[in-house]
Amino acid sequence: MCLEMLFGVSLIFQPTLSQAQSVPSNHSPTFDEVLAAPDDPEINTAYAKAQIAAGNFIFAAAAYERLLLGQPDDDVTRVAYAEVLLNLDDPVTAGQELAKLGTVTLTAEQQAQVAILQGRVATKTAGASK
Amino acid sequence: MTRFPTLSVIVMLLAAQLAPPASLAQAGGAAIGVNGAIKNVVQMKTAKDRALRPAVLREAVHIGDTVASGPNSALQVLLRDQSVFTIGANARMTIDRFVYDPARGSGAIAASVARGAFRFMSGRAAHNGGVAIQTPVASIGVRGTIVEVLVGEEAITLMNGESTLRGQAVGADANTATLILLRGPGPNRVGKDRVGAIDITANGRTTSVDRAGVVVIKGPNADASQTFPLTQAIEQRLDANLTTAPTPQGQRAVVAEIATSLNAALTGDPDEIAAALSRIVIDYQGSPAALQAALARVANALPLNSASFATLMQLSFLVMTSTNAQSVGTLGREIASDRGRQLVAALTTGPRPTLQDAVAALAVNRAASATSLSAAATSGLRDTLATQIIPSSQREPTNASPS
Repeated sequence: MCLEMLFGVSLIFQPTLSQAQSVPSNHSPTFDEVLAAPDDPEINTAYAKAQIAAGNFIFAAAAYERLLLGQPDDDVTRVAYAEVLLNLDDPVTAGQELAKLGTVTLTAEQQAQVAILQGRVATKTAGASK
Repeated sequence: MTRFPTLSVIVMLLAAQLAPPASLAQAGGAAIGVNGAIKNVVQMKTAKDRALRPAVLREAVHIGDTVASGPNSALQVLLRDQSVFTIGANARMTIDRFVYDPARGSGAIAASVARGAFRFMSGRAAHNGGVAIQTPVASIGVRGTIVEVLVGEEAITLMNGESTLRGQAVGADANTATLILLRGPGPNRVGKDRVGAIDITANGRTTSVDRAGVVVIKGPNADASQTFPLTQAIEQRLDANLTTAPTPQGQRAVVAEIATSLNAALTGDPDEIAAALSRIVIDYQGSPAALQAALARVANALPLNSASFATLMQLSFLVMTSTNAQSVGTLGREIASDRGRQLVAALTTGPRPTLQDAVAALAVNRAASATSLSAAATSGLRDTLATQIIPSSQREPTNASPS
């Protein structure tokens, strides 16, 4: 008798809850929803985007940081996090996050996005040193 | 007699009898926030606890709660006003005060940090300057900001590694030396966030910092230093204590391999389990920290039920405590034995442990594991185990269900 039969559960890995429950693209989660599910990628990504649109970049940065603690291989979130840091005029940390992506294989679109952000980092850094 | 080192951890987990994570609503009005993210080993002590115990994701946080982190670990506490404390490696912090009036968007926060690294990102309560962070030698008043602090020996290590700060390490106190880093937001930020600014009070004197930079307080009765420029090298060193890095591309395949191995192990096929254990040991021979991180990531990505969690625990400890190839093979088979099933069944009757429990349990055996794996490396385990892996072409079909 295998473990699957013993416990009556599927032992084949299933999609995570967050993967299974998609947040509608037009839904802006409330902060209470974030508090209830601070580790949910869908909710927190949607929340971060809403905060960016509202001009609250620190709140967006906090959401992305939270997601990256749980899923450090989420390259899309890391790029978004770097962009938010740039908007917070923090080119040093933004550059740090972009540099971390040097060890992974990005899509052509991501590579182009990273190149643009690295250009912004260089510009800001040069401006700050003058 | 066959060894079964996983018994100790299973007993430990059963004894822990950890309650399921309490939601903020369940915790009542006194809750001031939640554990928003946990990386590796983080412990927490609330008013209900007699000692530190593993922190739980989504668990409510209250005034007076203390959190403590281990090496390569981090916790993000998300407060009701959207302030965020990120506690990095080897840190200990207590939230002493939290008052927040959502209607007015004002409030007050006070926290004390005894050691280690942490980051504070201000929320709505900080808009009126109501945030104070206490370290052993300084008080930091926050006026809307992202600030990072390093207290103790690691602050000295960082200073010694940076030419611009090395002089500050001379005479610095190993227990209380404090490095304060204002990151931003900078004056050229976009959006509504206030420009970062902090007031540092040390030795009775207050220093204001309103541009990105680094300030050092060497210890008790020491003044705050001048503000040094924030460089990429300094941020990189502090960053290592507070954030994560992606798995390099080459290692991502190994992590996926572990997931596949665990999946195969869960079929209950003894040979598959033995092969899975062998592959994990070979992939991570001599590097228990990497193994721990990989297992944590795998577990994070998986919807573990009690049975699969128990198997993961067993796999982890088998790998980290086995010292020879024979024990790996034997114990791998034992997981699927009746005795193994009984232990797993016993585990499923109690509260479901969390990933954090698993990682914390792994950390308990950190030293022993390092020793064991080191010994294994010198005894040629890798070569021995390599002969035990069953090529996929020779394996019997498993009884795994199609997805």
